[in-house]
Amino acid sequence: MEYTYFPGCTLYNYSKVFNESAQEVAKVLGINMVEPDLWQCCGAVFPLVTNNVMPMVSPFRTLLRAKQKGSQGLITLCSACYNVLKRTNHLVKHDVDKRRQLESFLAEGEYGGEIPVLHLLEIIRDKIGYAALEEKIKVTLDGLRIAPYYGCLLLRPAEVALDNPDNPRILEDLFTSLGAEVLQYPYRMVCCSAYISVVAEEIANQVAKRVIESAVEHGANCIATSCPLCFYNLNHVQEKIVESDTLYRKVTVIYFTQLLAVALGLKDYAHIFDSINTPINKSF
Amino acid sequence: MQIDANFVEKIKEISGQDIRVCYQCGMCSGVCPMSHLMDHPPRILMILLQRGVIKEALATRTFWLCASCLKCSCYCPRGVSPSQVMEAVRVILLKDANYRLKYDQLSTEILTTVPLQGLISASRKYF
Repeated sequence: MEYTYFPGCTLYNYSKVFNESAQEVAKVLGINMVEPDLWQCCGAVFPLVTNNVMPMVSPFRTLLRAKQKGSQGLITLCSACYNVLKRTNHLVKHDVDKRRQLESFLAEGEYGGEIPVLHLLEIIRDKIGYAALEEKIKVTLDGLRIAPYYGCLLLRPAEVALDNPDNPRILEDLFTSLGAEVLQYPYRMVCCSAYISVVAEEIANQVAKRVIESAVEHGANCIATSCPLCFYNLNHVQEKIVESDTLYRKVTVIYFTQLLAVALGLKDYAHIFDSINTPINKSF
Repeated sequence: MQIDANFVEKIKEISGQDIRVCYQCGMCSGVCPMSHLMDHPPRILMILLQRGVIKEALATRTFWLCASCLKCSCYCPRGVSPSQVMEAVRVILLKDANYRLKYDQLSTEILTTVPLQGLISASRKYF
C-alpha cells in the first residue's frame, strides 16, 4: 500500500514523536508513506469566508502535485491538515468556479478532487481492518483506560468527517482492538479552544480544563488525540494547574500512534506504560 | 471605523450567510464550547446584527473568542453558519490594523511553547 504522506508544519518540530511513531507503525502494518520532496504548510485553518480562494492555494497545490505524481491517496496524521486538505478537495469537486480560479491562479495543471484525502485512522480501519491489526498485536493495552478525544477537525463539517459526526466510533474501535478499556465521556467532541490559547490564554485554559475534568471524572488515565494543538492545549492547562496545585496528578495526553506503537511491540515506545499514572478521581 | 449601512449585506457577500433567516432558537449558544465565557453568546450577536445594532454587535468579544469548531454551524436548524458569520465580522474589522494580532505583545512563553499549528492558525484568524 503506497500513499503520498503530508506531514504538515508541526510534525517535524513540536510533535516529532507523533511523526516518528506513525512512521514505525506504518512500516509494521505494511503502509508505505512517501513524503513528497517539496511540500508547504496547508494553512492550518480552512477559510470560512466564501469570497476568497487565496487561503486554499497551498492545499490545492499539495493535492495537485500528488495527482501529478500518480498518487492513489494522500495520508495525513495531523487533524488540521486532514481537515484543510479534505475540505479543499471537497470544494474543488463541487464548485467549478472556485476550481477554475485556483487552477488559473496556480497555472500548474488541472485538479478536480481526484486524490482521496485519508487519515491514517481511516487506512487502519478500511484498508487493514481491526481483525488483521489484532493479529499483529504483541502487547495488549491491558489496564489502560483511554478517553478518546476527537476535538473538532476530524468530524466537522459533516461532509469531511472520517466517521459518523454525531457518534464516531473510529478511535473507540481502534483502542478496543488494542485491548484497552475505552471510556465514554461527554466532552470527546468538544473543542479544546484551538488557537484561542494564543490570543486569550486564560479563557482557553478554562475550556481545555473542562475536557480534562470530564475525562478524569469518567476514570481516564490517558487521553488519546490526533491533533498537535489539542495535545498542547490539554497538556498546557495541566501544567498551569500543577503550578498552583502541587498535589494535582496529570493525566497523560498521548497521540494514538504512540499507543499503536506500544501495542505492536515497538521497543522504543514500551516505556510509555511507565509514564501513565492514575489521576485522582474527584468523583469518588 | 466607518460602519457600512448595509452591514448585513456585506456579511452575506463575504460569508454567503443570510443572518435574517435566524429565528433565535439559541442552538448555537447551547452547543458553543465558549459561550459561557463570552460577554454575549452567539445568539445575541446574531440578533444584534439582524436588527442592525451594529455598533453594539462589534463591541462584543463573541466573534474574537470563536475557535471555529463549527458546532453551531452543524446544529443550526435554519442552516445558518454562525461561525462563518463571525469570520466575516472579523474579516471586516481586521481591515483596520488596530484590531490585528500584535506579535510583539505575545509572551515569550507562547511564542516558544505553542506548536506552529496554533501560531499559524492564530495568524490566519487575527491578522
